[in-house]
Amino acid sequence: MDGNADKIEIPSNTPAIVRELTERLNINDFTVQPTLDGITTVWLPRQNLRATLQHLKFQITSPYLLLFDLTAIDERQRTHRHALSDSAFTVVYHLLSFERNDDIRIKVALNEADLSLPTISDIWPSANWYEREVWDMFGIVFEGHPHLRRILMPPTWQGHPLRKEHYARATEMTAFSLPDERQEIEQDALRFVPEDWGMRRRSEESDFMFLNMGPNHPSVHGAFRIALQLDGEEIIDALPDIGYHHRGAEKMGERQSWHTYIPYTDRVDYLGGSSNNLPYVLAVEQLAGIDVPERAQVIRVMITELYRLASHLLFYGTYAQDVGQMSPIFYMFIDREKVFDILESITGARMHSSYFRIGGVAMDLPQGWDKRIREFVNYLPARLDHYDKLVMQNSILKRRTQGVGAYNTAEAVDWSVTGPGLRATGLAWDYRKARPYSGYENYEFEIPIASHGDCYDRCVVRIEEMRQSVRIIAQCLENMPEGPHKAHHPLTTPPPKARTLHDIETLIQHFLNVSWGPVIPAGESCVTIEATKGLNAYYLISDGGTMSYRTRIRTPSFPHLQMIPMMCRGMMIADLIAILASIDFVMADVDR
Amino acid sequence: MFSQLRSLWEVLRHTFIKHDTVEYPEQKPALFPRYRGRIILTRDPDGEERCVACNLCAVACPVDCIALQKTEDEHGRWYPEFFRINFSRCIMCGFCEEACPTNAIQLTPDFEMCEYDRQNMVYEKQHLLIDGTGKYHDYNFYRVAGMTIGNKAKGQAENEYPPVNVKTLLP
Repeated sequence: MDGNADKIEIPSNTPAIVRELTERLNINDFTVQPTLDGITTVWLPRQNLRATLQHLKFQITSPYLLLFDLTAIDERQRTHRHALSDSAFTVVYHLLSFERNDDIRIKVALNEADLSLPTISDIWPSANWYEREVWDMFGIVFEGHPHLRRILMPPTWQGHPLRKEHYARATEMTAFSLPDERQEIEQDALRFVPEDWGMRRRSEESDFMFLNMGPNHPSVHGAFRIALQLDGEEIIDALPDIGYHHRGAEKMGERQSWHTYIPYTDRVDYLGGSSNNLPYVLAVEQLAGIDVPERAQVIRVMITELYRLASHLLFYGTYAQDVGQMSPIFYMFIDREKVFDILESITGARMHSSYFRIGGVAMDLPQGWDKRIREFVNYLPARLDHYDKLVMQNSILKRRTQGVGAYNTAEAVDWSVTGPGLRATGLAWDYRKARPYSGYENYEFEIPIASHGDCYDRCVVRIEEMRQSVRIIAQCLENMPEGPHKAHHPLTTPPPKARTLHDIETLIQHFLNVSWGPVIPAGESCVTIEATKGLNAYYLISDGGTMSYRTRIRTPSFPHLQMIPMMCRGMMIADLIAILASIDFVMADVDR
Repeated sequence: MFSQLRSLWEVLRHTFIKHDTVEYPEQKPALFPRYRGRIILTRDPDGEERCVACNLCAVACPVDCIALQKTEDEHGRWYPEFFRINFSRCIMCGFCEEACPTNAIQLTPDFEMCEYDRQNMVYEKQHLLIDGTGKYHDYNFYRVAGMTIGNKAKGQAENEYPPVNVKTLLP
């Protein structure tokens, strides 16, 4: 540092990390924004972005290794702008440090005339898709990005959907029609052209074959296409093509009331049911300042863990089926049916229960709710032992999956892998332990890990997680507290029904909350949970209205798919099937 | 080799276990009382329509599948003139039942609603209205609310004081 340079003055209330950045980088352009979620939020000018992020990843002690999320906000219609930089579009970088157990959020303000930023896809490989998504949704250019093209919308799409001026409903546009010539154009646009992606059609020795796997193929678990570059049966390269399941869940968040958006969250990771509700309602409750009663918290934990079981059982079955065992999935569906019976008896639905509410849960537990759960927690461990013999100890399955699709912890973190896929590499990091929410600190359970990070280990971790979930559910069963299932707070939506039916004051509140919806105070909040497939976060921005200003859904499956090419190069197609099975993704969770 | 034979044996064992298959449609699955299926409109214990056409279900519906219009009878009771649910949009989330201030709209444990013609998924009031009270037996909104209707004057509702005579100073 230049000895004559003025020493930068740092206000005393500056967070330690910002102080360190200011001193180390000798930049004093950081602005700290207070947020409700306690995540240090720093605004910085565009020219300092790369240096700061590089510093946070490479130079700092206990670095921020995981690019947790990268997204943008269209700020042009935002009214509550105090403490925000003057910004038309804001790009948000959310980093996570395992060692510090801390997050940092970096924001860069852009004006409308110059929507561009340098890429960070060379710093974090996982930024590649995130930047494509931001380009697709907001039209923000990332200079130096290798393939900045649409990722979720079709290549022929006009406009950028998450911009405020883009329509949200079909009724805001002319009636949809698809004449034959238009269909030709649309289909042609989907054709995979290897040269577009820098792939060669032949090498010195051989001509490559290009194979579309999907969008309709049983082992891609949904509408998902992988274009494969093959030399014989060996995979030279792969290009995952997503977006077939895109429904604009984030855009819908901007037109539903805070209350009526809950059923939409169920459908993001549709195998996770109400465990999708959880980060959403937690984030809204954080904005609203609602403390959820203990009974509601325990009910939520119990329901979430039941959904984890349902999701993992489906994973286990399809995993075995994809590598050639036909029978186990049928047995696991029987177990899953028992989980759904429990969920149905409590919530009223099987897969999309929409059971959680702002301030609690929809209904109290029914009489005799514990009987089936008690039977089930005694039943499942023996079944899992049985499956161990049937599936996991089978030598053919082992040969198909051990050493296949392996990655180490550093690679996993670089590609933003979270959840069982990360723990299979040996990193014991579970959000429920690291940052307990909904009272997870009160439960006894272990974080299952494995060491090889291959397809086999990813399954091992999930099986052990099921045993731990059973443990947690058993603890909920034995320690279910008495008390209300909804918070006593004016923003609890809807207020307790028994009072609504007999008391005009409650009825008025009820009318307002379920029709216009609760008015959530302005602010920003991001709540993350350990969902079935990894870390799932809802980053909500309220502008002090009855609807969300911006709903960002950070899903685990999105970065997981991005890693497929790296995992399958040099492998056979059959190995790719095992890899896909072991990732455990849901296309709705990828595309949202 | 042993492990493969054992896998085969474990599968074979299932041949002798009681099967879990439900032979639908001959055998109907047992559904729970809370199961959220086909929506109905119920009547109060006196056999009158419960729905007061307040529109709260329609606005609470996340997918906007409910439409209705209010009308009034000669006694001052409110009714829906028409009540229409488009079940091809409905996601059975139960928000309407939760929103209903009179327990009129309820979800029932019935899911068998397939149709060949999509238009048949649009249910009108005559398809929705049943003769009973549904899940909530005793509630009658007009007995709770202070609204005057044919056979009930001011002051006769639950927890309601008789009306104050505003034209006198005497207690």
